[in-house]
Amino acid sequence: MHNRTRVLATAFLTALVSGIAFSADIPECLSASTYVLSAPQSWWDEVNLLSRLIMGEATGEPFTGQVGVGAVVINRTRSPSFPGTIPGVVYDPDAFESVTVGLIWSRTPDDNHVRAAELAINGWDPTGGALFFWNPSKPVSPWIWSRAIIAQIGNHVFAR
Amino acid sequence: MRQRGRTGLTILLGVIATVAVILSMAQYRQAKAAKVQLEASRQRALYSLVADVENIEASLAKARAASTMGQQTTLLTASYSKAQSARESLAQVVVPGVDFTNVRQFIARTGDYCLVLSQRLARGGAVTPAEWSELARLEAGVKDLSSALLTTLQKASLGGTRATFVGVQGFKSAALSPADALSQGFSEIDQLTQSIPSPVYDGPFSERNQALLALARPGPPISAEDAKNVGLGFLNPGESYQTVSVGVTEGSIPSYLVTGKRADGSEVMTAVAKQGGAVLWAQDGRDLGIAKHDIQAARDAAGAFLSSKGFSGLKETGWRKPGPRSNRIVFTFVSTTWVRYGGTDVPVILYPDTVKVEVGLDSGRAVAFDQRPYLTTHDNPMRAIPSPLISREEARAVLKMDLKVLDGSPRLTVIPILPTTEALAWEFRAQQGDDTYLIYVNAMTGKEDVVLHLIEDDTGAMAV
Repeated sequence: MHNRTRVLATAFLTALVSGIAFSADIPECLSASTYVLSAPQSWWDEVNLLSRLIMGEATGEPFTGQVGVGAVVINRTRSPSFPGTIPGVVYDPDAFESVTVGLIWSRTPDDNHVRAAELAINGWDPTGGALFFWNPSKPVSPWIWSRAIIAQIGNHVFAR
Repeated sequence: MRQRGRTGLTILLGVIATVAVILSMAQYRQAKAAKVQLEASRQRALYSLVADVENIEASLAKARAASTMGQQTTLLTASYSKAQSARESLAQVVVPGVDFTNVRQFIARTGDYCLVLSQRLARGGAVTPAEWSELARLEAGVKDLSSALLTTLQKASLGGTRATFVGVQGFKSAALSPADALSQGFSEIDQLTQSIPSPVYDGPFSERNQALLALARPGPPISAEDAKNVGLGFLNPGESYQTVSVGVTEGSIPSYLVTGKRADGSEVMTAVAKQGGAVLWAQDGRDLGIAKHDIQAARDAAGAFLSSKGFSGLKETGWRKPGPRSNRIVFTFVSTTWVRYGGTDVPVILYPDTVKVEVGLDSGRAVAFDQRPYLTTHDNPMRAIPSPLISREEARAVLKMDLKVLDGSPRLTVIPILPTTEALAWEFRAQQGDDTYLIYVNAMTGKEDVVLHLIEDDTGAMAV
């Protein structure tokens, strides 16, 4: 436990000083596209949280659509318009209905949700850079339709 | 007898009603306490935000007045750190109907700008007079923001009251209700931050780096029918699907989305670039079975898959799987090239040119593929890789002497500094105690560019 704390502390300092964020492999970690600037999180904690959000928001969607929802979260962490960490984005007030109503804690993510989260954290982005998604057949804020839709996967549209 | 029964029933109903009232009151108190706690945490976030923004301003002002590079670096880093805190605080502030996008962007970019300059100073570079002027302009913007936040806080009369609590009306004599004061104040803050131009710089949050990445070599446009043929033949050549559809995405690289749906409902989706017809990524969404293949078999399968797609000379840089008994594993590959050094050709690892392959350990077949980074950097006509000006020995001299450099180090690499910037660097794999590090020393300037901590276990390697 002590060693883990030390590792995370060292990692945090490294990330802070170098400006390079956590990631799962060397190229991703070196890449500025993963410039998340987050406080240290263990990779698995992030996978767990993201898989829960994917479960809450995209259960029943095709697998690629589930990865797309995860990618939206990752894209938000890289945008100056949103909180800079996965927990920050997931718990952004009123950002995700499944968080607002507590759905993400009511069930356990299945293997596909976890796999979708891993792929999204690993850099897969089937949306091509989307920052928003919604189901057009459900009531949503009219504001959301002002965003530029760039893809539709399953029942979700993805927008920038 | 009947009378006694009625009396008993009345008593029972009375007891039930009393218990119900007691439970309701207890639940009401709990709900009220939860609301108070929630409101208190949001008020705390607002107070923290005000303090953080004030501290950004203070650190910026001191950085501009500091005379030594050490002080400037420290104070700019402090500004960045406070900007990060402000972002976190702002993420917890809730004002119904108010969009925080502009204030979020302003704070994030101000902090980002400070970080970029502090890192440059830390690496021995200098901040130009124009950049100091830009910092002064940002400091003025932060000062205005700080003032507006304080005014909003005061108007909302939050100090030590329960004025904004749900169902509790406080300060009835105030011209605005606390909620309206917050709403009006943050609407004004939104306009204020929108009016401050973003700094022009090369950083992760700068507007130029938020712009879209493009294919290095786009190629001629292809038709949807061509894309369908490419997509269906990519991950599982020869497989027939119950239905096939072709959609489009206008994302960072416009592409066709080719979807093959199986009878069991699972889908194979492949994105094919509209310009040139390269496969950007592909995913097989089938359920994966029990793992039957080991890592080496999966590695061989990933390599064979890449060879079948025309890749050659790629080098594996890492792998990761969810757990020791997981049924899938992701391999990362990068391309290589050669440069002249010391009178001979030496290999250079091109980290930006990344290709990833996920292999299902049940079947030993590729189940996901992604080469978007590779397609945006590899063979980019704008890329020029020079010969290193710093020798291996000079680079080694930059490292702390108590670091044990491991065999095979250093290697020459190209590393991404920003989406638009790459650097040629010597990569040292080094140990200090039980810890392993990857340290990148710029091969042109001799400065230590990046330090990564390498954590390796039986689920792969993680660089942090």
